[in-house]
Amino acid sequence: MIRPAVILRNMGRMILIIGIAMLTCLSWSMVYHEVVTMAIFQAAGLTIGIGLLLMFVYTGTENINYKEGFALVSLGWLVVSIFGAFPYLFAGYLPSFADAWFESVSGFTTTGSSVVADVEAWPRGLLFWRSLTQWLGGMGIIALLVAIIAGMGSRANQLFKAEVPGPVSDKISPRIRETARKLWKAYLLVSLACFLTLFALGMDLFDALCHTFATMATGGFSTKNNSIAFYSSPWIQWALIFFMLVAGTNFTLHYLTFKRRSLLTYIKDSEFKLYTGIILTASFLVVLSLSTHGALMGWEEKIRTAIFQVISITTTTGYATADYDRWPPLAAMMIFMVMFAGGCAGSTGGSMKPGRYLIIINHSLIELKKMLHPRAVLPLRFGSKVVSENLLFNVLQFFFLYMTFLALGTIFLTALDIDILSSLSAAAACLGNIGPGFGLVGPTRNFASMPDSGKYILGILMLVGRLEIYPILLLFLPTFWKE
Amino acid sequence: MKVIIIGAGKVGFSMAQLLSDEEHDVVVIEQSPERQQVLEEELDVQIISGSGSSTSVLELAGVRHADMLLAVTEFDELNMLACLLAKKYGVKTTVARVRNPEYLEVKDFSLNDVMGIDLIINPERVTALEIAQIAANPEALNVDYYADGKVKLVELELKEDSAVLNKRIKELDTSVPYNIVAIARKHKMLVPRGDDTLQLGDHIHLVARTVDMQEVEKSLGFFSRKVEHITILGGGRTGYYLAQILEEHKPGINIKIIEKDKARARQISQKLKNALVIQGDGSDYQLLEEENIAYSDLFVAVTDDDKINLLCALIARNLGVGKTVCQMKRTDVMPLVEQIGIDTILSPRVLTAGAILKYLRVGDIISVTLFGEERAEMLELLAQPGAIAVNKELQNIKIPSGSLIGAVVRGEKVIIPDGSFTIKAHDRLIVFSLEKSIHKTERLFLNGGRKF
Repeated sequence: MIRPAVILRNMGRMILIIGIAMLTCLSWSMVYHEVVTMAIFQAAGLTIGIGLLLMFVYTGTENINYKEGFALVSLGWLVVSIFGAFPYLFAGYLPSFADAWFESVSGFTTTGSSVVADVEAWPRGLLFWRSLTQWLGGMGIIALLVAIIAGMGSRANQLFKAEVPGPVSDKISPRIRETARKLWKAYLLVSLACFLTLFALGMDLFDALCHTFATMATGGFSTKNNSIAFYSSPWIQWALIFFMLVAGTNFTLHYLTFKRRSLLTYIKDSEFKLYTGIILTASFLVVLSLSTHGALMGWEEKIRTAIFQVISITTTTGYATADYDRWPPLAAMMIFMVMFAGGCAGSTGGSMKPGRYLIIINHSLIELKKMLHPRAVLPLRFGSKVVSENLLFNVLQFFFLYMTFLALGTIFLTALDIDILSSLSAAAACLGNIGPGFGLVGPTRNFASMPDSGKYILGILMLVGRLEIYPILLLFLPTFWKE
Repeated sequence: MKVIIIGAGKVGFSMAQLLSDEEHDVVVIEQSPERQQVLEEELDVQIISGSGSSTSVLELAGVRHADMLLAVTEFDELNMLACLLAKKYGVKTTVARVRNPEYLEVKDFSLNDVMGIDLIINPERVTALEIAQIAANPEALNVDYYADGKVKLVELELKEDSAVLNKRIKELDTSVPYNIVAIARKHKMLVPRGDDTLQLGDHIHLVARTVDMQEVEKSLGFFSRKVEHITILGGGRTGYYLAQILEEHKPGINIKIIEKDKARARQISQKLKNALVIQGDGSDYQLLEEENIAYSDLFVAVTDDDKINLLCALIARNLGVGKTVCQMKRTDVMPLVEQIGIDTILSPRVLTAGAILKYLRVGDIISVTLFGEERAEMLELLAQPGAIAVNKELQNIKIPSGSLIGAVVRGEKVIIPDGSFTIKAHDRLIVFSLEKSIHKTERLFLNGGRKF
């Protein structure tokens, strides 16, 4: 049974948090005397107002039940992305709702696909909001809600899990609220380190902050038209490579490393090993492929560009320092392949997650061994932990559904007369919360040319990808809404 | 507070639920994936897979920083060992569930010293003790004592012939002082105020001085019958303990035990002195009739099978037994069972959880009793000097609506307070409280409590 009052009350809380976050943009637009100040103020006021209204109209103390938990996660994200579009709409920079919502949902889901061609012409207040949406969505709005609000009850556990990406999530503290707080703290600390590094390497305060938000959330919105290519300093690029790698790592690992004061924590983690393995292999192949082409680049630059681009796409950030669309086939193919890798479980990255591959790889090995020893009893492991068969089915099911959504998205876009490569890569980039694709949506282009219906479809794909399919899919199950 | 619970069976689950609802950090060690799944879905606790007697698992569960360890698996030895280990790691309080009576027979030294177990809890014994109390007060549905037995709580059902029906609480005769601290009406716990009326079928919870209780009951129109004949269905551990306790404390009583299993029947008949052990099927109507169950003042059904207990209690009631007590392991259907006319239903799980909870309370909270599935507690609080409520008249303290002060113990004296009573420092307060008001009420009497 789904009680609207329970969902609306909690949704009110989420909207309120978003509204308060909007207020922080005001400081920028006010300092720079921008004309959008009033518009942002109106958007924030309206958001906070509606949030408070929902909270006060639907008071009560009933606990969220199982179904409501899923409904709250998926509907909550949808509603938040709609409210997040208000500043763009009100300021008039993205007057069409389709554009504004696309930009907002792309921010919250940390996709980083944009419809804005000339971001440098945008006022700082709006740019700040655009970057901040990614940072909030990175660690998760529900996680923030769980961390802030007391008394969410045992259901908070389920809410939290529905939002955190990856096949398995660890509790680092007995209470879910503490877990959420610790993760947010780790997120804040790493973000601070990223900000200080970028600032020290010569970015100005505003750009350093915005790029920190985009990097740590594996979002990819830049405040420059040419993305990171704008910053010619190799140091900034190397710093971003490092912090993208960090953002794509399980934040539980960061927390445990900090707690145990031992870097071995990373090396012992099998998902992290696979994650770095994928990055190194792909980078190596890209360097190899680039070495025969584009003789203009020096070795350091070649390696840096290759690693940057591979990490940017693997972690689903989506920054660009080079137009990989024009790279030789092998290099371009590697970029396309890593679109399906993603960051680790429990990171801010999207896509399929190395952890899922790990489970399937381990199971394949078991099947092989069973051919040699038909009666062998072989446990399925995820790292050092033995996991149940159910998890394997869940992962396989996830693969199937992921591919189904990818196919459906691609078919829909080709129906809008977009070529196959652009359609496929756009669907993959949005479903995986990556950002840029190939062709029409390549790293030097943007999504402005998409028809409105295409933007809506891609926006939904982003939500499907961010919440890892099931919560969104449940909404379309008729029995979900019945008693 | 950080608590480790070993074993997520019925008791373990209850404890994990109670404690995590109170915002304690709970880590549960459990081996069965099915139980892990249940806990994972229902509760906000951390689950560690493994055995509670393994040091590596205990360390993983954070035993070094734990304040308390509850070992409540099915296995006595594992529970005892886990407590022993936990004590070595420096856990302050350890509780073990131990069912085998042989382990509890140690006389020359205490298990607490050897094994480092602070509380040994035996669910069957806890249940038997509870039933023995009911046997001593047959008119009551439930009985409890506080402040070393000086204060007594009874639960009474208002029947058609009751003199106090439809009266307001403030109109009742209080020449012998008492307090009605709670009313269970249609499966809901209410904390009554002076204007509330008493209705047919209400279960009232009454607090009075132990010495006065009989007078109080008389003034309210309850007459206590004496229990002379008692029939116990089921000669398992609970039934055996009960017979043993009754033989010891109420020598004149006639005890009949019906046990199906021949060997078991023989075994307990040899151990018990006076009780008459009958070998037979308790659900056999004819047997019950032949054995003149109708003459029993009290019929207790404590076999391992809920369904048999229920059925036999119904038969006994139908035959005209004065009072029926039925043990049910399932707690979800308890309110339903009360409706069909069985007087008292006891759940070993709830009783055990209540007994353990007393140990969890830190500071000056002395004793705790749980009321059924719905969370309500009897608390014994010590009024600390400097607390908000000290040196004020009761009517001037904003006591949360879900709480009521039943009695106050000052030195050796027991006082049943009214509105003009002034609380002094070091008073022991016997307070009834619904779950939502527990913390607010506690704060009223603790030094440095928050203001309202």
